[in-house]
Amino acid sequence: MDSYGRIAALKIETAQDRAHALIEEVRRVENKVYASPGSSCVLTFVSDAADRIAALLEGQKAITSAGLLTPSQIETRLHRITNLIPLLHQLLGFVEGSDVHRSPAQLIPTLRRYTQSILPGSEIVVSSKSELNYSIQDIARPLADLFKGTPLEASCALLPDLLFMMSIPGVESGKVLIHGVLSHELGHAIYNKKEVAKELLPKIDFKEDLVKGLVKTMFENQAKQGNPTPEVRLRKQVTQEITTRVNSWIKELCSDAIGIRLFGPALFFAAAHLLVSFRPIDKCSDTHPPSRLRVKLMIRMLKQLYPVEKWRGELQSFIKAWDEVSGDPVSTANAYDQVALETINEAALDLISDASASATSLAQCYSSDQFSRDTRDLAPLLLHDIPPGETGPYGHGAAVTLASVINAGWHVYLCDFEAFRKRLHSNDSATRFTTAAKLHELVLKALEISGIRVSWEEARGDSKRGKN
Amino acid sequence: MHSEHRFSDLTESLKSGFLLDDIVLALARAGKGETLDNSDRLLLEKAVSLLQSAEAGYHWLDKPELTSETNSSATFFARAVNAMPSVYANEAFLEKVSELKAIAEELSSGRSVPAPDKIHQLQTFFYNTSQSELERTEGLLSGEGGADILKWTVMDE
Repeated sequence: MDSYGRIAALKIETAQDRAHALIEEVRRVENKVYASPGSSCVLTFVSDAADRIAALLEGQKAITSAGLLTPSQIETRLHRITNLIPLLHQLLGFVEGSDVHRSPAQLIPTLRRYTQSILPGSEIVVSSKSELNYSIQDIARPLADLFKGTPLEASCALLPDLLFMMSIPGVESGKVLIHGVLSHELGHAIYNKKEVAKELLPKIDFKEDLVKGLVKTMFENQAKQGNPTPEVRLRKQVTQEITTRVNSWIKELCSDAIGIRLFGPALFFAAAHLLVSFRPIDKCSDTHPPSRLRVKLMIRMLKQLYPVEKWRGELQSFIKAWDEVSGDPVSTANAYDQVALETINEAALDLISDASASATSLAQCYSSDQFSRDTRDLAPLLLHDIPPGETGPYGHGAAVTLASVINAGWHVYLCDFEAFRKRLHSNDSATRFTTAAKLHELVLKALEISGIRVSWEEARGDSKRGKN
Repeated sequence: MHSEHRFSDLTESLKSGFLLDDIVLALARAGKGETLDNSDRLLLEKAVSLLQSAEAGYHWLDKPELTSETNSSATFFARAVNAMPSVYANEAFLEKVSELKAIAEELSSGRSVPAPDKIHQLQTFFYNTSQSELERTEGLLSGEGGADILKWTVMDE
């Protein structure tokens, strides 16, 4: 065996060792108690896939010894396969923090049911992470797509159709009102599943003159330089920068729009509280639009879908301030951002809003009437320290939905915070933080009660159908 | 630090890399004069599609419109430019892609076998592309680039 052959054999062997270590790790953590069955699905997948990766690597020995590929081609091929191992590590990382001790267990059953009602056949894993970030990603479809037609295809059968890995900041896991932003993330899932881009993107009117003007200016500026970027590379750069921005910004905005339809004002309130705290309003990237544009879209939609002018004064002034701010022009850092901004104009925002309506059914959407009922019926219960998890006459109560509880919570937070504070014990009302913590506790308790109520109804239904 | 890319970016990059590796292997077989089977020919048909996608990505600026394919063609255009380090001019790029496409089409159709140096040229192009994709995969695994998850809060942008 020549030297390169030995190195290839060593790469295969060490990768197989690492695959085995993954199987061992799964054995170590699989007996923890997880808040959702999704965690166990991921662990079973990792173990099975690691075993198959080891076999796949074994199969590469024939290719490496066939003399068809050069040493560097063999190396690239082997590294591609060994990169599946850190991918499995990422999956284990998703599961970490999803056990009952670390994740917000009261929220999960309700969130799980809600997600399954929006996207049937889906499963969720909620993990508390050390990062200050919210995210939700489906891992089942990307994995099925990656492994289709390979020996690892069988491992994907161990996963549900859609498996959402949600992560929330561990230190804020109890701040349930902020978790309203998860509806934006569900928007991403719906955007992908309903293939919204296919219908929406061709309707966006690209300003051809704008793009060509930018290219012309860039070419002219480059020509003046002593060592200009070669023309095909400049073309590549402009094409990539613009297409990535416009595609990604539209996806983000449409996810906001879907989130507004699912959760109503609660998404806007949660987003506004996060945006105002942590991000300059005009900051954007190639993947994310400036917050000012996102706020503009959300407020436009709220004004269209809700009688904002009839809301309580506190809510009206909150919306008004953001409306004024979002009406001012975005100050952009570069020409690519400017092209994206001018492309995503008022007409494009209308198209995005319409696309979000097509992607969601009426039954899935939170409504203006519901918001009125929730602020009228549920918010006063919170004010009296009663978690509104179910409503209706004794013995005939019905579970309150996730969106209703969170909207009622926001209403109290924004309109009646001082009244809520005054009714609390002095220990709980000492500071704004302790008062807010008490409100979050009540909202979480309401979600827990709602979850129990639905479980009870499901169990009763199963019993009536003769199931055990 | 939790990486800031979407999981699907990583799986797409790996998927694209596996395809490119298999195209390189099929071309290696062709280069050694082996008879190509149906699966090899299917791979070469995909090679033709990728080159067409690079051409579409190149032409996007001439008529900027959005479709669900725009991103992938812009991406493969970028990969193709990176895989041709000595090509600087627009015309030269288009000429080269067209030439590579003709070689791939000839091989996939099975009508005739191109000269070994032509096959080698095509194999080098796809190998360069596969290496570039490997770099992207490794970047995504280490948490660089492709940021796509919700950034209500941005840690390190």
